[in-house]
This record gives sequence, structure tokens and C-alpha cells, in this order.
Amino acid sequence: MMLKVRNLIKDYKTGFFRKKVRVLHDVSFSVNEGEIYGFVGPNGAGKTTTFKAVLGFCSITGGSIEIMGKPLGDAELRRHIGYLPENPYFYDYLTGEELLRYMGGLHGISGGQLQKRVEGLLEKVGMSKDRRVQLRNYSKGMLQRIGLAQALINDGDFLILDEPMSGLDPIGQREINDLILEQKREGKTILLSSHILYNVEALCDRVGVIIKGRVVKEGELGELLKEIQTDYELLLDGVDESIRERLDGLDITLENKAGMVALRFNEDIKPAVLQRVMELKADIVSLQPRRKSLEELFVEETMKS
Amino acid sequence: MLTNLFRSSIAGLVVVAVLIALSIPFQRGINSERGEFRSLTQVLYLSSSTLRRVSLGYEELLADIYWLRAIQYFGGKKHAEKDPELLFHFFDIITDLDPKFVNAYRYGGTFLADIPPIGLGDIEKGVELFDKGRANNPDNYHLPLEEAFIFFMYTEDFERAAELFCEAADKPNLSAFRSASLKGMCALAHAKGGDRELSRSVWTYIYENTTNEGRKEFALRNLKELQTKDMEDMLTKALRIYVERHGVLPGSLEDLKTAKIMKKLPVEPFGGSFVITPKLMAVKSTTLAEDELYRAKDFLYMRAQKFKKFSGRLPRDLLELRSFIESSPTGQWLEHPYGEQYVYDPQTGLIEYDKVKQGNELED
Amino acid sequence: MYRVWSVAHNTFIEAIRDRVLYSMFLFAALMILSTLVFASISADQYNKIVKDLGLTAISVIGIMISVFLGMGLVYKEIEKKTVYNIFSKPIRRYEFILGKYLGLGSTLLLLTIGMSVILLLVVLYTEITHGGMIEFYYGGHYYAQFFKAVYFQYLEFLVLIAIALVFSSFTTPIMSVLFTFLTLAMGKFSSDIKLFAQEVESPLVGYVTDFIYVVIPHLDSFNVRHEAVYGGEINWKLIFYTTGYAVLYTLALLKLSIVIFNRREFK
Repeated sequence: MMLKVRNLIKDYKTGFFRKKVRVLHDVSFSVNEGEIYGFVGPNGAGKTTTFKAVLGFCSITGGSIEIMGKPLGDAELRRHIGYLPENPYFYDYLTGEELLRYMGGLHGISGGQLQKRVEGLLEKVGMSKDRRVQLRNYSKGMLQRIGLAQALINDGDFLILDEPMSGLDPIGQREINDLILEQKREGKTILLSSHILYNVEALCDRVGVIIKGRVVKEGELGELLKEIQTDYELLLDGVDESIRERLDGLDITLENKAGMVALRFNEDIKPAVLQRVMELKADIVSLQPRRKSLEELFVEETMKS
Repeated sequence: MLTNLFRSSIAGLVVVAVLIALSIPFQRGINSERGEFRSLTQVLYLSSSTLRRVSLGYEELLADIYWLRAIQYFGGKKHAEKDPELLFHFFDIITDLDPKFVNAYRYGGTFLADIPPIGLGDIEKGVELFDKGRANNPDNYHLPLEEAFIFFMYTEDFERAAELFCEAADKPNLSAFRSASLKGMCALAHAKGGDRELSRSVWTYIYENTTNEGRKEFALRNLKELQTKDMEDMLTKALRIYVERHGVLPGSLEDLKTAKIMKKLPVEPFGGSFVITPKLMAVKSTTLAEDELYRAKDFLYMRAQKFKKFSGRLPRDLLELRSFIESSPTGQWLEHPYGEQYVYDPQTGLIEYDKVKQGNELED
Repeated sequence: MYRVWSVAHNTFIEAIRDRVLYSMFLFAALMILSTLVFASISADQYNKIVKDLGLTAISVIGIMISVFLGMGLVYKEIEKKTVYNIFSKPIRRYEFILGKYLGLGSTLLLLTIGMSVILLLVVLYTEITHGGMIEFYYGGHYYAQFFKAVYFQYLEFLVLIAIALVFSSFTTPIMSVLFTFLTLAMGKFSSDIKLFAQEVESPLVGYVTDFIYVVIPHLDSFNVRHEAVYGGEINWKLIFYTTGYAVLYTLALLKLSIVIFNRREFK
């Protein structure tokens, strides 16, 4: 087991009166060796805070964190970790190459070995051409790539990537995606976070869903998706919103769409709904299955909690 | 975890305290070493223009701080340690920073010029400070008046004193009484120069107006001195009549009574006595003469030291010392009160005043 | 150790690529050169004016650079979230603080040397052009004292950076600058505090004043500019004591920064 987080609680004291604010209520999840673990949740759910606690940037109020079977607080552990922060603000006066050399230096790597690593990584992330350009002149995508490169500088076994895809165009996302998969093939364990499930769906072996400081679901992505029930959308013409009264007793949502009425309902009640609609002689334009987006899932979970 | 952090913080603070404690001997070392070549007072020698610049517009505040420092420093030191150069420097800075600080000129100028032990006896510096004050504060009557006192009392430059009395009398916003008394001093000084009438009115003015106990006493003493001088004059007149009649000096003052020139011999107000000085053919009060001698000795010694500062050695003899003193525009040679010669030691620069006394006794 | 060096190196690079530093250095150079103008209207006091103003320029600009670069030393890394990058690596917090300090310390070393060389050239120039005059007025050239004054000045910068570092490790740059300047002012007047401690009569107030005197930095101990102009002995004992004091006091400040920084959470 690469990482084991159990019942993590984190309070911040804010403001003049040091008022306590609980950011993490109960976070438990674990990352197995060699897998890509997606840590997903809406913005402000506590993803970054959890990562900071894992990396020891802040103290924890309760619970426990184990990395590679060792309790938190050992700086030596960080030799094996690569970390890409969210929206990395690097030193904009450094060039890409200088940044990598500095970050390597912080790992205690020096001399020829450092030079070799830097060259290799610049090549790997496709930044060899821009190595002598100051970071202030980098695009978002270039920053993300150089950021990933610095996370790989120590060739650690465990990568923690905070929102690696955010702010990138589809091509940029694709590139990062490929780089992450390549790391997995090299046998590394990857923990990454995202607020858009779609972005990480294709990458992750397992996913943990965090909402309002609590991990509410954890499991293999396929199982999780199966668990998520499919919705249907029925588009009707020639009726108005009074149709709701006729569908009394069924759990549907109703929406006006381009002069037509769209009904949304769960798979369970599909036969009942269709039967009623047929009875009403409404003009069925289309019937489409709609898988819930992560956002909707979040909303659902949030309502529950 | 947290308690660990707490414990290590405490340990860290202990280390900080230990390091600071270790630095104490070094602090002491620095202080003792620096003391060898630079005293605290020397650090205070700053140029006032630098001060103005660094004071960032808080000149007055800075002047006040300096003022307090000057008072503290000079109030607490033994007299011998008071350096007129440094005092002048202080007040120069203070008044550079705050040119309207009239009391700084008054206090500083008077303190510099007053004879020891009331002041430091540096008339030139005192006058310089007053001149600066008058230039910066043309409407203030205290400054010319008190500067006039210096010329009047110490250098006996009555012309200059008269000018300053008149300048003070011409200032606006004076009360009728003050204006009248200043005009009186002005007129007297003009008319009679070193007249005792003027002295009496000046000292009475000071006696009545000063808040400084030492100065009040000093004024009283001066008034007494004036009385003594009147007596001296009276006795000298009688003495000269005696000599005219008898062709020789009387053996003692009693002879004046016996010769019926004087009905009664006056008693010296300070408890000393009156003696006959053959060289001057005059009668002198021993108290006043001793004072003059004391002052002369001090003054001559200081000038001899100043001479040494310039040329690296003490004056060879009295003649050299005298010409040096008289080369300064306000410098004036002090005659021996008994009309005798000083005995000067070129090794130490000291006037040996016991020997002068002996000389006097020889005449007796 | 290599990690400390890496942080120091980066801090140095950051400083020397900062445009503010260049303009300050340029300003210092101009001030030093302009002493020639002031000297020419000083009624023959060339040497004094050049050295006084030149050494003051070095002092003032050096202090400004120490304070303004020192203020953001730690805070900026937290504010810009670069600490996340740094502390995901196996570097200890004390190594980071030491690296930051050494980085700025070497920046100031370079600057001090640069400014002093310019001043020395100006001094040499005036001495060549007005040779006899200087010895006549001041009785010597006092090159040794000049270098010692520069060395003492650098010691002051070292202490000052450490002070700025302490404040930077727990407060915002503006507060940090404010606190640093307050400490600076106290340090410059430390001899007055000593004077006060000697004069005061109440024993309690005396102890408190003594304590304050011991704790505040004695920045006026680093000023031997007077001797660089008028001569005067700066003996090896004084150099030893002053250096020892600067080192111990700086170590105390660094330890304090580390204690504070260790307690800090990065949000």
C-alpha cells in the first residue's frame, strides 16, 4: 500500500479571533502500488488540503496518514515523492532548465547526474526547445509540462498531481494524459485530483469522491459508474407543462426545451412514464439515456449529506 | 505531533536565549574597546545638516531630543569634564535643527560664557551662539540683552554692550516698564561706558529677573562687589591724599584714620580685608583681588593650553602667551590685580599664584 | 548541505535578477560619484566629504536592500505558493531558512564589494588630485580604517538580514518592513538605552532597561565611519568582539526564524 489515509480531520483557525473552521471532516482512502488513483470532488471539497496534509505542509487535527507504511513527518520519505501543485506559480525569473536544476538540487541531486536527469526530462515533456526561456514567458500548458517534469526530477515512486489537467486545452490535456500513462507503465503510483471526472475517467484505476471534506465513495471506476443510475430524457412535442399533473405520482423533472417539453426520470420508472405518455397521445420526439455527470452526482451526494 | 512541535519550539527558544547570553561578553568587549578610542560623547558629534536630512521632517523633535540630551549630559557631569567645544556643538545642532528655539541660545550662550563654576567661561563661543540666535530671531529682546550682559560683565566691552542694550530696547512688543529700563541701560552704557551705575542696574535687573538660583546669587555677589569697589575707590582716594601730604605710603590703613583723612575705615563686605598695593598706589579688597587672580590664573592656563593645541607646545614665557591672547579679536590680557608680575611655569603652563602672594607680602 | 546551497543559489539568482536591486545599486553608484561634486564645494574638505557621504551611501543603500529583499524572503515563497514545490522535496525547514539567509548574505557581499570598490576609486582619485591637502587636514589616508569600516558595515547588513528574516517568517512584507525599521531605529540608538540604564535610579527599571539593552541589536557598534575619515585605532580586539557579536546575534536570530518557521502551516 502506497498511501493510507484514515479518518483525517483538519481544522483551520482563521481571523482575528482564531475561529475554528473544519475543512476536512472525515477523509479515508488508500492508494495501492502501481495504480492511478483519482481523487475527485468539486472545488473547495478539500482535495488540495488533503494533499497538503499528506505532504506534511500543515499539521493534522485528527486521524492518521501513512506513506509506504511509515507515519507522516519523515522528510526522507519525500525522496520518493514527486509533487505537482495546483496552479503552480514557479519562479518566473528562472528558465525552465534552471527550475529543474534547482528542484533537483533540493533533492540533493547534483553534478552530472542532475544534468542527465534535466536533459532527459526536458526531452520527455517536449520542452528542450524552450529550456532557456524564462518561466514568465511560458504558456499555461508549458508551465504544466515543466511542472510535471520537476515532479519527476527525483524519479520517485509516488507522484501526487494536484489538478494536472486544469486550465488546459484538449490538446494540452491529451499530452499530460499521455505523460501520466507513461509514468504508470514505468511502474509508478500516481495520485491525482480533479474536479472534472471526465478528464480523469480514462486514466484512473480507482477513484475516491470527496465532498465537503468527506470521502463519500471509493472504489474501482467501473463499479462506481455502474452504481450511478442512468437517467433518461424524453422529449415531447404538442404538450405543455400541464402534463405534470397527468404524470402525478412519478418522480420526474420537467423542463421547457425549444418549445418542447423535456422529461427527465430514472431508469426504474421508464415503463410507467412511457405508458402514461402513450395514453396522453403526446408526440414523442426522442428518448435518450443520459449518464449523470460527476457534477450531478456531487449535487446528489451533497443533498444527502 | 503538536506537543512535539511545542517542545522543540521551547528548546529552540532556549537556544536563542543562550546565544544572546553568549553575545553579552562580546557586547561588553565592544563597549570597552570602543571606549578606548571613542567615548559616547564623541559619537554625538554629528553634522547638523546630516541630522536635518535624516530627521525626515522631524527637526524640532530631534532638536528637543538633543536638547534633553545636552541638559542631561551637562547637568550630570563634574565640572572639569564639561567641554565647551562639545556644548557649543550641541547647541549649534539644536539651533540648526530648530532655529526658533530661543531658550537654547539663551541657556547655551549664557552657560558657555559665564565664568566657572556657573558656566564654562568660553566667551567667544557664547557670543557666537547669541549672534546666531539674534540673526534667527530678530524680534526677541532677551537675546541682545543677555548677550550685552556678557560683553558688559566679562569682556567689559562697553561699546558693544551699549549697542546691544539699545538693540534690545528697540524691539517691538515690550511692556512700558521693560522698555523704559532697557532704554535706561542703553543710555547709561552709551554715556558712561563702564559706569558702576550701569553695573548696578544690570545686576539688579538680573537679580530680579533670573530664575536660576546660582545666577541670582551671582548677581547679589556682584552687587556686593560693586559696593566693595566703591569702598576701594574711597580708600584709594584717601590714600593718595595721604601720600600727597606726607610724601610716603602709610604703614597701614589705620594711618589714614590717624591722619584724619578718613573718619572711619569701612569693613570689607566679604569678610576679607583692604590692603595697600604700592605698585598701583591703590587700596584693594583682598577678596576681589584673590578672585581676579584666581580667574586670571584659570584664564591664562586655558589660553596656554589652547596655544599648545595650535603649536604643539606651551608658550615659552608670559610675553609669548600675552601676544597669543591679544592676537584673538576678543582676547584681552588680564592685568595682575596688585600690579605685580605673574610667575609663569613654562613646563606646566601654570601661573603660580602663591609666589605672587609672597611678592605682595614682601612689599608689606 | 547541497540542498542549502541550492536554496542559497536560487535566492542569489532571484536577487540579482531583480530590477529593483539594479536600480538601487545604480543609485548607490551615483551617490558615491556625486560626492565628488559635493567635495568640490566643500572648501578643501575633499577626503572627508567623499568618505562621509560615500560610506553613508553604502550604509543607507545596503540597509534598504537588506530590508527590502529581506522582507519578502520567506513570505513571498509562501504567498506565491512556491513553498509547496520546495517542501515536497526532502529539504528540512531549517535548511530552507539557512539557504535563504546565505543567498541574501552573498548578494549583499557582492553589492558591498561593488559599492566599496567604486568608493575606493573615488577616494583614490581625490587623493591623487589633492594629495598634500588630505594629509595636511587629516594627518593620513587611513586606508586600513576604510576597509575595516566597510567590513563592519557588512556585518551590520548580515545582522539586519537576519532581523528581516525573522519578521518575514511570520508576517506580511509591509509589517515586516515596519518592524525591521523599528528594530533598526532601536538598534541605532542602543547606546542611548545604555546611557539611560546607567542613569536610571529605580532598580526595577534598571533591570528592564539592561535586559532591553542586551536583547536589542547594537547596530551602532558597526559604525566606524568616523575613524575612516579622521583616523583612530580599530584594533584586532575590537574586530574580534564585533565579529563575534555579529555572528552570535545572527545565529540567535536564525534560530528564532527557524523556530517560527517550523510552527508555520502552509495553507
